[in-house]
Amino acid sequence: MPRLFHRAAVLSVAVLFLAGCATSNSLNNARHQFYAGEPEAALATLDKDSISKRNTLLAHLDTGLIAHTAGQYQKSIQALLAARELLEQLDFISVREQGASLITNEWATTYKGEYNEHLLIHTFQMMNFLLINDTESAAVEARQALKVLENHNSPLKHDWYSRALIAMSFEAAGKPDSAHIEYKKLIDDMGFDGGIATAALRNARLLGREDDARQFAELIAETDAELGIGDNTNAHLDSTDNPKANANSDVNFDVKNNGELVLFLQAGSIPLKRPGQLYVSTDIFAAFPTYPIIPRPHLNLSIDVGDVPIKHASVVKTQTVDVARAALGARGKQIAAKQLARIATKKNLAQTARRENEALGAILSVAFFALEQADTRSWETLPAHLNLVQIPLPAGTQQVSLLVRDGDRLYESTLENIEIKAGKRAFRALRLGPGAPRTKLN
Amino acid sequence: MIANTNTNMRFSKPVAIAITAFMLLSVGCAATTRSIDPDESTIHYDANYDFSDKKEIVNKLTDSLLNTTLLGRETSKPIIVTYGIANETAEHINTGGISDDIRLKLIQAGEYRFVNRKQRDNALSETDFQHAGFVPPEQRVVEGRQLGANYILAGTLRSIEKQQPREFRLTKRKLVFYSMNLELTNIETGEISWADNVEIARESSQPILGW
Repeated sequence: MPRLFHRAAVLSVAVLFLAGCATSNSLNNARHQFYAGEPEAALATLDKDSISKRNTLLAHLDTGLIAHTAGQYQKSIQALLAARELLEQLDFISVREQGASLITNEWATTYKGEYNEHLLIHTFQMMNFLLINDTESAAVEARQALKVLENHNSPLKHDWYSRALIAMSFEAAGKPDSAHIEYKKLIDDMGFDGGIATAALRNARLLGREDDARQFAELIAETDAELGIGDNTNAHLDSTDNPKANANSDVNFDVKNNGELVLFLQAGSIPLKRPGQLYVSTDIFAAFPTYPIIPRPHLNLSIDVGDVPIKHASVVKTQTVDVARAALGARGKQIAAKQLARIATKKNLAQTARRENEALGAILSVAFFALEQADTRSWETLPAHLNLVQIPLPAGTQQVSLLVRDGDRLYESTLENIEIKAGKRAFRALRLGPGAPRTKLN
Repeated sequence: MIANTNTNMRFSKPVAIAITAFMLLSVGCAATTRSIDPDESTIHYDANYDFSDKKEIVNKLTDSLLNTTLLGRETSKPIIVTYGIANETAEHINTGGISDDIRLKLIQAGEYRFVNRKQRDNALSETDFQHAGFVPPEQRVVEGRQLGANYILAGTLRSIEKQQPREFRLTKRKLVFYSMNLELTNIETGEISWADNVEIARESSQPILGW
């Protein structure tokens, strides 16, 4: 029996060291290519190289986001649909993987995504469907996003961007009642305009919800007064770090002559998860993933239509890392419980081995110690900032220039040939900074 | 004992058992395909909308439309234009399949006539082409003879999903309720001349633990 245990222990050590703690190489290569401004090359890498089964979800997520950035919306839709289908298939606890992770680490398990990532799958799908003018499918995604929000409301409710997009998707699909419910819930949770009150007000008036319309109008007036733009004299939409900063006093939107450009503005890259460590004793410690706390200002935008600076734009702002941190925090108890179980299992195994063979026990202890690594896998191609920019524009073909400040970085971009129809929304997506395509996409 | 008499090859008992087991496992793991008669039976792998639901919806609504008293009141076969079925569920369902199948069954029953809205632009383009001088006059279609529809056929598919609350359990249960509403609107009067719906409720359960 001791001999059998001896062999099993040696085999375990070998297996432990073979168990990789790294994301697939091809996934990393694709991410490097994406952040080098080469989304097409990144997609080619993801298409041709095999990704380990444990990281398949990440491959779908990255493919979906990179294709979205490259303007390949159908490809993005297919990848994100595959991601969601995979999540449904993975919605069980694998005894085999959990067993393996008890003597190794969480890298031994199949990545199932964080709650914020589950929601962002639908957020990017809503954007994709709106960009290809499939409003009914955007509304389907909005309903799915609501299910995710319902299940994990506390950590996700501050994802203002996704929530505003849900309301907008319902509105686009001709469901103003559903849109009104979401606008109202969102504004009640925000407690201020937040860049969405103008859209909510317009929709409420369309439905004849005068009480709610009055509430939204008051919020807009408050924000305008705070920013000193009630008299419409400000030349630029100079948003500040304050997420309330929106110049949106033009509530009487002229639907007969004007339309609106809704820009899905994405900038920067989400900070990566980092390993946190908690030492229990000299030979035992727990490693867990964390998100760094780095104060980061919101994007600062200046918008010109043609050569004319505009002030009547509303911006809903979300920093993805804030929601990601809250979502990871919501799993805190689960992560801690698993850590305790792992520490107990490893300690037990090492002690048993030591009783049989001192050297083997020591080797196992070292192996277990070395293998204690935090699972820092995440959807790394996400942007740091998600801004829903709503710009009222006269009907016709328009050109919009943007000057965007992200901390000490300044980006300039021009959107050309925007077809604006009276009373309608036109949707465009733009990624700036890391991950932005180096060459202009068609 | 398994033996090959031609080569005189003999296997020991454990090897023979291993070979037999391997062969059995290989057969067990082989991919299989079989054809299913669409009319045969109802097949559901989970609680989500599937082919069997479409069949049930189409059959029930077609039967209802063919048995409506509306047909008795009309002096000629009603002419219908379909405006599709709105998908208000939380799933990506191609509702075009439902409206196409209902239209097909009604055409085959011969009680209604349909105008093809989807081909309207193509028909106009073809007519323009014929009248642009490329086609001999006697072969050109006569303009102004398109059928005018009396009714619009349109509907909505909705769903409500309920999941079992989070609690200690070994399976996860999900209840999905589908409601398909279809109506026929008189274009002249705006009256809804006929309406019916089909409701489907289904529960599925999935184990929480797996290998």
